[in-house]
Amino acid sequence: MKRIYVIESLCNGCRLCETFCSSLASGVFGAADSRIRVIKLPGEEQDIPLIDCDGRCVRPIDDSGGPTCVSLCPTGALIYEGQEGAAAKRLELAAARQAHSLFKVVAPWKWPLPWRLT
Amino acid sequence: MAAATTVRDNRTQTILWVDLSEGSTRLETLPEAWTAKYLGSRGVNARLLFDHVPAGTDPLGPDNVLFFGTGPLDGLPVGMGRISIACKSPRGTVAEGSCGGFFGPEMRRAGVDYIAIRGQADHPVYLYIQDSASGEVAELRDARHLWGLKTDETDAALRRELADPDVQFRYIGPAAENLVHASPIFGNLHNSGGRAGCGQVMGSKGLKAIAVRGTQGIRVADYDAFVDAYKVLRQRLDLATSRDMWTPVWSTYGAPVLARLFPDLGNLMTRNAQQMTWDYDKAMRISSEPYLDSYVTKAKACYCCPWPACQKLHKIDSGKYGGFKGGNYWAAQPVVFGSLIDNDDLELLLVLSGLCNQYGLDVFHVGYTLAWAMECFEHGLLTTTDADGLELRFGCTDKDGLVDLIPKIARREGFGGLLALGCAEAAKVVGQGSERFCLAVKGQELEGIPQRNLYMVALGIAVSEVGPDHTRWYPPYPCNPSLISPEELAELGIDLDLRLAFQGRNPEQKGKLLRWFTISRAIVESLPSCVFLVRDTLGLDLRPWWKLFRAATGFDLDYREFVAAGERLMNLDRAFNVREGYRRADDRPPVRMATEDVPGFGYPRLAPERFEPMLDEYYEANGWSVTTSIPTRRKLAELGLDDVAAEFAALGIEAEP
Amino acid sequence: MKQLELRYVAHVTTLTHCLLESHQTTAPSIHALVDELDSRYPGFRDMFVNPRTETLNLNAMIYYAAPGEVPLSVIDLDHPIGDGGTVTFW
Repeated sequence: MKRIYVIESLCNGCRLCETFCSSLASGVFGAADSRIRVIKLPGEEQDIPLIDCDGRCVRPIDDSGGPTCVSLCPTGALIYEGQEGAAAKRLELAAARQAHSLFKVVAPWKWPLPWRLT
Repeated sequence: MAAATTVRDNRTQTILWVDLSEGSTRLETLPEAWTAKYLGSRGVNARLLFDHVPAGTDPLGPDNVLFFGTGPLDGLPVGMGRISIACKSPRGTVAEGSCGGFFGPEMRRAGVDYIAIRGQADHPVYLYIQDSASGEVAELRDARHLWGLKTDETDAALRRELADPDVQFRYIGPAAENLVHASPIFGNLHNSGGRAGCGQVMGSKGLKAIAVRGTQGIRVADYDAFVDAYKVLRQRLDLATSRDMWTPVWSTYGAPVLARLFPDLGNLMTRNAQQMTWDYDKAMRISSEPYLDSYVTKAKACYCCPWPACQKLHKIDSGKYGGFKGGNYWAAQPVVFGSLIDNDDLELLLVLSGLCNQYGLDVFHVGYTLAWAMECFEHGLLTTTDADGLELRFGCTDKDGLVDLIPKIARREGFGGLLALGCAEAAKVVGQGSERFCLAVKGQELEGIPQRNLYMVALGIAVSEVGPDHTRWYPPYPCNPSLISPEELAELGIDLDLRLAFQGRNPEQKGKLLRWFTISRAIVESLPSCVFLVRDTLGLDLRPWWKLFRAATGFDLDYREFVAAGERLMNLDRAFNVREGYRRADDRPPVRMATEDVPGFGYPRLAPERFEPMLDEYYEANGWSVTTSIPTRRKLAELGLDDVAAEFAALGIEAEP
Repeated sequence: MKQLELRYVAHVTTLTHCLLESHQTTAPSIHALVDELDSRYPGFRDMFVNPRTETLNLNAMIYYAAPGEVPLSVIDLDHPIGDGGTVTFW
């Protein structure tokens, strides 16, 4: 069963997820019913998405089959996977980071150009 | 973001007038027609500034007004959190700058679209704005305990005091408190704006910070159309689908990689631009790759940015500067604390940049003034005695001395006091021909982009009403010309030969290119959105932005009217400067670029025979007098700025028909 | 045999895992050089060449500098390369 997993170290705090989610039901940006909220720790050093959602999106923004927040996340900090898929992605991220510093700031699954492990 | 209690519309805009002398605040509504005529943010600020700060106002006195402006797209996922900050500069010109982060959306959700601050507080204060829907809008609070704190300390102190992780701030550091030249206004730690004079003005008013917290939701006029328009824009900007050659680089590594291209092109200002090239090995040491490898800890972004890592946090883990934290290594610092002063120690560079942020200093001001001082040293115009014992040389062997100098500039202590003036004023103090080492226009230091190889840049720097500001015409090159046809340009009403405009050292078409670039960036900054995202053809074809604006506000402007709003802004800015006495003679390159060829590359100086025709073309294309640069009465009438024409007449300013 | 300096900027290093290198080649053009580098760095061709049109990808850049010359942006992949040249890949 797929659900939304969060990779906190990839979150850049942009709040696209929260902003769009808040609008999906009502057409109001910043409405009360956003099912994801990004908290920013003091000093801006950590941005933490907190999700209160089963992943069945009110209004998906594309045909990916996933929720709007996951589609829009620029870094790949949000993934929509089953447990095995999520595990595979976490391992992929770890290997990618070992290989190259680019993946400190973007997930390999969001990086559209060819790359390789050493 | 907490739960919304009320919903606001997106047609009308509100302004909070704050009088610091009286200690009063008043929330008003702007005419709805303004949203159609000026859009918002930078456009509305230009109107407000012209209306409320008459000619001759003392910029550091109580009658100057400091405006913070959001706009109809702010708080929506395309506004990128931008705000425009505007006032009269202590140098006499318009001062306007923008920054991103998260302050703008919070203002909008508090139901306060603009803040206008006049007067002067008799002791340091901060302004605390809460949700206008709950009644109690704004309060002036004692800031004596905050005065003197660095920007990061201010952020932390306010965060503790207000105990709400979602309150947003803008603040000044000690430099602006001490009215140091070019001090910007900071927020979200590493975002800043308004180096044209806004920080000094905020400091002169005794205003240490603004805090804002809002809970309203924003209803767009047509949600479905807005989402469709968003998807079009997102597709053009997204890393996966963007057609722009810079998107993969800019959205992750960032601008310092230009250090690996600029030296060989003769584009890199080295040793105060005495040379325009640098050792490639040195350039590699300060490029983005070692930065990302060794110092970046995480990606950061402005509100709803579609890119993964335009901003970044970094930390120096060990060594001499172990523990030092900062953020946002971008285009300025590799030049101003790198090649310009001939420093290839990336850690020293990051520390100097970070200290400028902490003390609230402008990195361009500090870098170019240091470089000016170093060249003065070379010529014996300044000595170690003048510099409190500091051996101020290109190559930066006295690293500790440089690091210690930053707080001294912010506090105007010792030699720091001279540097705090900025290189234009400092050169007047030192005299002896040191003026020719000052790389500034209208009293404001340059940025990092070369002029003698890119003529549109030279023109754009010279004519900018606020002093050098590349964001008013960014990027310094048109998009890939194969992406837009001459027919499409004509359809868009753009009179331009893109092929000629593309040729860097050909003076032709630069005036027309700059006209279009400044108008289109004015529009994007009035929505607001981020001019850095003017990629692909989005700087030429503004229809995607227009559709977002219409869907967001419900204003049924046609495309020509939408574009006219940008031109209206440019004319208001020009009119403000004209009213202060600025004319064509003030629109010129720095002395070095006008009188010296680029050594080694043979790029000629910007002598009058090269430069003046570009100025002619720019003014003519804009409908401004070629002799004076004053907007003609016909142009003002075309834009509905009859009040500006009337004011010129009343002040005896000669405007051509 | 031509001696080139190859420079890899930003994300290109995710394929090459180095910033620059000397390279000897008989490749007559940028296109041939890219193909040659693809065998050393799989994916290099896809990063730079649109497979459908065999032209430079819109989101990629290549600069070529003949010895002693200022680099020029290469749009036509058939651009010749000469001994002592520098090629910068973005």
